[in-house]
Amino acid sequence: MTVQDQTSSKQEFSAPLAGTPMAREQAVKFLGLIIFAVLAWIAITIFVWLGRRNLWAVSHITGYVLFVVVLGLVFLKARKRLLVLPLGPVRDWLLLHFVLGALSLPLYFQHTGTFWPQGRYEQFIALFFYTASVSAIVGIIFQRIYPRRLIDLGSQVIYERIPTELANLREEAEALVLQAVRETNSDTVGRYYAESFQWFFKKPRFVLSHLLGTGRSLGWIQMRVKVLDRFLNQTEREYMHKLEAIAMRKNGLDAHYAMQGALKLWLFVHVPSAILLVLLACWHLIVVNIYS
Amino acid sequence: MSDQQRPGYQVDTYVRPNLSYCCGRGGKWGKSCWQGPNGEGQCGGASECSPVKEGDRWECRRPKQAGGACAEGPRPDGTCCNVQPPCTPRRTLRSMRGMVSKIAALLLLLALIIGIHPGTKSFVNPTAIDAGNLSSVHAGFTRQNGCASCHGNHINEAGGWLLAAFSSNDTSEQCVDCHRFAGPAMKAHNQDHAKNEKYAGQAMADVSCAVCHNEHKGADNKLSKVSDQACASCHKPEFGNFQRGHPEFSAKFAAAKPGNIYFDHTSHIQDYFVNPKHMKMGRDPQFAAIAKSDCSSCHAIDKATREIKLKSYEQVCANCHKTQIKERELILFEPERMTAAGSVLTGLSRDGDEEINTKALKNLWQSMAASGRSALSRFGAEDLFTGLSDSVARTAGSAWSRSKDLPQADPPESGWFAGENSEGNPALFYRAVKHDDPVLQAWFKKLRAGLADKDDEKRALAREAMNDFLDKQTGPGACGKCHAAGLRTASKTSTGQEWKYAAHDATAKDQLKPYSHPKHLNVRDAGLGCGACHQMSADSKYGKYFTPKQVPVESYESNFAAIRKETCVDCHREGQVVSSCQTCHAYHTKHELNVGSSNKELAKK
Amino acid sequence: MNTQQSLRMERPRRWDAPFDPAMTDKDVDALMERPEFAAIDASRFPAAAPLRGILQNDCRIVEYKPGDIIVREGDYGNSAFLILSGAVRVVISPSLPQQVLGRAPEKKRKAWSVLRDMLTYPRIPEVRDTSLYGTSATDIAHLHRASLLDATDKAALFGAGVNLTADMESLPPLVEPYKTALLPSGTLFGEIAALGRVKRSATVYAETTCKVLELRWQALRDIKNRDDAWRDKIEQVYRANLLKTQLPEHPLLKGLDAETLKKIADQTLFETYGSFEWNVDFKAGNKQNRRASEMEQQVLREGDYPDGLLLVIGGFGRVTVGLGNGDRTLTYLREGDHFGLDELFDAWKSGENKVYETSLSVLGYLQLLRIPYPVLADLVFPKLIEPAGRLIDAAARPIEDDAFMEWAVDQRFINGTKTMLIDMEKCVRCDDCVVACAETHNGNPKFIRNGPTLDNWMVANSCMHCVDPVCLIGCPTGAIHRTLSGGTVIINDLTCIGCGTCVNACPYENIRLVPIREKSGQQVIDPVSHQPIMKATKCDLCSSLPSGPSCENACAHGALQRIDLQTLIKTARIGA
Repeated sequence: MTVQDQTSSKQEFSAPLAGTPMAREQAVKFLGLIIFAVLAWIAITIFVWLGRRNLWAVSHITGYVLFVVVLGLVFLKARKRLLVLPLGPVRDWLLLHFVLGALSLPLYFQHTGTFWPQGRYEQFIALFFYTASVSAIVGIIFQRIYPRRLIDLGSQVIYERIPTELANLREEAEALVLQAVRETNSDTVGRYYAESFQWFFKKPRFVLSHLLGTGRSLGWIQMRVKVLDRFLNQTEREYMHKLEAIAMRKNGLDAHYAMQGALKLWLFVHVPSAILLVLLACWHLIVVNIYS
Repeated sequence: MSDQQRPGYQVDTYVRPNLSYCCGRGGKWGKSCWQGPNGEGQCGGASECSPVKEGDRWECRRPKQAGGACAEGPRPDGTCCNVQPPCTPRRTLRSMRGMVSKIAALLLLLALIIGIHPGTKSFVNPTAIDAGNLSSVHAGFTRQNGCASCHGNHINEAGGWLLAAFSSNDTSEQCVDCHRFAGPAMKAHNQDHAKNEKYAGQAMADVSCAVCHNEHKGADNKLSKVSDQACASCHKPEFGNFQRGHPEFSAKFAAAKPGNIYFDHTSHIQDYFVNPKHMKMGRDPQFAAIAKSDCSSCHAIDKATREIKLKSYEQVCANCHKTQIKERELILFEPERMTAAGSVLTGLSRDGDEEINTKALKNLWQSMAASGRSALSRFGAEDLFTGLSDSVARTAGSAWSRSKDLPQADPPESGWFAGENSEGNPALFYRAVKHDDPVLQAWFKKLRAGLADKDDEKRALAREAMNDFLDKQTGPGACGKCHAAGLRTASKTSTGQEWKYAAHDATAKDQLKPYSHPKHLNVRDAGLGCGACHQMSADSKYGKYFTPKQVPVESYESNFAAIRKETCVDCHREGQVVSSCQTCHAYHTKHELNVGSSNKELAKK
Repeated sequence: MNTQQSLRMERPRRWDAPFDPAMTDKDVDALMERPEFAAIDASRFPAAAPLRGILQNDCRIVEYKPGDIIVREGDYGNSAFLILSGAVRVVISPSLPQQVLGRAPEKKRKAWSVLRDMLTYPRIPEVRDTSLYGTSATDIAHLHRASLLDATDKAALFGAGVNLTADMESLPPLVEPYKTALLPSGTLFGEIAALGRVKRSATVYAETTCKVLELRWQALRDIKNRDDAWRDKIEQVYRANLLKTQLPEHPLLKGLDAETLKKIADQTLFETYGSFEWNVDFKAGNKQNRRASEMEQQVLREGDYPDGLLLVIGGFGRVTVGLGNGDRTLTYLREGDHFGLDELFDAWKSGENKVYETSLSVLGYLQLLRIPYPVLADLVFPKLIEPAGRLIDAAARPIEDDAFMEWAVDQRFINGTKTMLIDMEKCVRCDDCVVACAETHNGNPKFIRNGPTLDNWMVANSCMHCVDPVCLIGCPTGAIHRTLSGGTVIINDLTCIGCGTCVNACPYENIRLVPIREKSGQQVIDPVSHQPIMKATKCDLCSSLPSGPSCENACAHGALQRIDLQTLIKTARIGA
């Protein structure tokens, strides 16, 4: 047994599963990109400062730089389509997308010099730029907040399966209610179900509350149970508790629906406005060159 | 919820977000069927299984994936008991997002091209190329031709219009149609600096209008406003603001150019107006009392612009100098010797041969005795002798031709007289009628012309005579006391400007805009008045410049100290009064609107 | 399904794609006369899979020329070999250099063709070109045949000045340092890799022209199950070979000379616990919600007296220590680890008796080599430098720190080499991973983005390409197999008969059966049973793509990784 072999059998013990090697790699890359972007912005700002003092065509050049930045942003989408080409993994491109997006904000104002341009079509460019930027920020906020909340709901479901799961829960609840009515020979639970929980089980409810993280839905469920309680005997009460349990599961499903929906729907604003922005930017490029 | 421990988990089918359609039942919050829509997004309905006849029984053949054989089994006629009616497949979210993007892009493309203003001239929707409102000064007359007023390729067909993107389309040529300047429009300060050896070796590129003046920034946009940084493109090193970096004003700022009139402010204010010994007869002590401290006693402040004009001679100088004019006589001729005037008329120098001079004079006396005034017409200019009567001429001529004395008489207040002058010498002399006496004016005109004569001798004679005439103590009419500087200039023609005090010129070198006194009067400490900016300089030698010798203009020392930058910086600084380059400096030299006939009509609208 | 719109296709059967279509009845007759097969009682085989059928369809006769490499050390393989005639040599040690072994590079598709398919795939699920079915043999039949004679530096193998002609009858022996052994006719080799689904332990090449019967795993399995003699022989050979080849390879004993190793080997015992088909009990236990650790067989307990050092040469073991009313997992052991070193070494040094500080239980199956204490004291410990830390020290760590490991071991995720681990805190549920997988596989995703979750760590239902792929065990046709070099587990769609054995076998439910359709969208139905034709599908690690796993590449947030969990857990891997 050689010395080397023995010392290599050093005992390592588990570290808390804080971050994977990939996560650390991405953090380093992100930092590098941010530094690069800050330096690039400083260089551009210096260029603009110099340009105003030397009568360079500052708007033209900042315009072209901005155009390149916007194209770089759009290339994330193209990268996803051309996945099989060896251009680097998409996660690196997303980091670049973040950084270019942040860079585009000051660049935009350095190029236009104003918050609201004069020309009509330029106003549309500004509008789409603002919607794309604001929706991006909203999207980042969603992506930071909601995944953790989704984990904390306890179990996972795929968004497209939610209708089926919901239907199953609804069937389960209705079967339970029918059984309760049959067993206790009293239709109290059935009537009250028709008044209250039927609405609840129809489709996802309290969506805004789940988005904002308030406990409205929980309060609603608890109150419905409490309201009926005085009219029930013990068996019925047990059925109501079982129904409440099903309702809580459905509530978790609603939370998934709301938050996963938000995580998908912000892109409905971001992607179309980005596309319109790019198209109008190309148009702007053409028109500016035709008239000057 | 999906829990890995749920039995039958492996029969869950794959989720396919890459497809465009999914089962419509999920959309109505039901259970999606496991088959899904077909590729075109249609659902023809589905039965759970296709039953098979085994013997004489139909058996369910639902695949394990969907739950295996169902409990009820097929209907007696062999159809499945679990036929699902068709759903309306709905688009997946991803597919919907793609549709929204595509539709939005299509609408945008249409909006860009299709004109929403019917009757529009260009093929492209004018809103789609709208770069912003024109400034109000340009908006009116361009309305008829629209964009084509300035942008030539606007009316091209689609192909040419697009190709124009690859060529340079500077609109500055159209600007020059109406806007004219003293020099070339595209050169810095409208001057060709390349010709100036001071800038030899420096690249002086042409600067087109659009570089500094940006249109399409709205009706309220002031086109003439240009940033300070633009000036810094040539004027380096750049300074941050007027207060901190602007160079000190030139050494003699606002006090560099002498006027035509000799007026020593210092001696007047500190001596003549103050010291009682100067209050001789005819000098107004009340005026002096005011004038010594109040600039507005002489300067018309209420009519102030860039310059503050002087009040008239009558209002100002006459208060003291009225009598001096009459006291000094113009000696035309003296019996025994050649006068200055005489030498100019005859062309004979006073230092020349005495015999010749005497002979010429004698000749003249005899002519005058004989013909009177008309004897003097041989010298040409009649206006030199305006008001000289025949009798006076004869008197002088007849007396002197016989070497007799002139008759004793008292000279008149003003006009020609032959007799004893104020010094007691016999002479034919003239006393000025008023301040702008025509005879004296005529004489000085002649002398100036003489100074410009080609002939050296004549020039010398004129110079000598001019020196006499402009002598401060003895010059006729006391004109030379004040007007010497202007009169000493040689010129064949006379505009009258040589008598006037001549306003200071805004020099083209500094490209300064006219200073506005009204805006600044009484802004600084009111007690100081004009002295807030114009401070008298006690030790300046004002008279140095006003000598008969030729001295360069640069040697002039004004009574007033040069205005220093700190005077202006008191108010024109960051956070207070505007202090941009354009506040005081102009870029263009003599900007004029040359509105041609066609444009004139438009401009009127 | 609408029956009018379905395509009829007969349900595929086990021997639709025989191992070698050229096997004739005559060949089979010749084989049946051999003593190895003549001794088998053919009546014990079922009518659906008779012995003759197995020989004809799951075996093939291959001829090798002198120098041909029959199996390469390090390859994964699904077949065992019976030498029919000729001389075959096995290289004992050291291993032949890589370039000699002549691995063919894995063929990848061109990026542009993949890109074209990504944009034009059919928008119908599970479309197959049914015209391809029933035509070709399995692709693994077309092996790249390498030969020692192709080596660039032949002098290093055969010595300088040796004449090597193309038509020589017998290959000259390999020179020092290579040690080889002759395998006579009638020898069965290659069974370790086939049975255990592990890498080939040695290179075997043909010395003379020889004929070899290649039995694929299915044949070996069926014959072994039906014939006791074969079973015993196989197991005996298996154990002996395993011991011989694995003992010198064990990291703890590397550096000992060959003589010492032989002495140790003579005294070492081979022990095996659990069974290859551990997944059956595991899944049954899951369904009954029994705790995983309750179902594990104990090898030894805390407090037992150790009598030998245990070297792990196959499978997994769990090391635990009692904590409260349960057992706390300190680490897990896999091939290359050892157990009991701390206690035995202490005992040797101090001269006192020591007991085990921890317990060892079986995760699935566990193959151990037990080196008795006297051998250790005599030959091993004198040369051993005292280990730096003790395994029991891990018990001092906070419980929270080991939660992930406990969970991963309980769920047997430690089996995976390419586990799909998703950090659900980074995952934004965008499904780009699923879309990318689908787009690079003709529109069909091969995994589901859901699975067991611990806090933010989810192990999704995607094939983990296990170290011990139990899905291979029951496949009737060999459609599910391991690729040669990488060990990636692939299903050959052309030969899969949709029986669902692998689907049921996978302990993690990562394989799915899908009904297939024609290009037009029609379902393909078996005319006899009226059931749709099914095929098994699962993640293939994008092994035919030049860019690697599409899911990992496509995840924009770096949430999804294909990793071996051991790199994350960093447990006390003794000897690692």
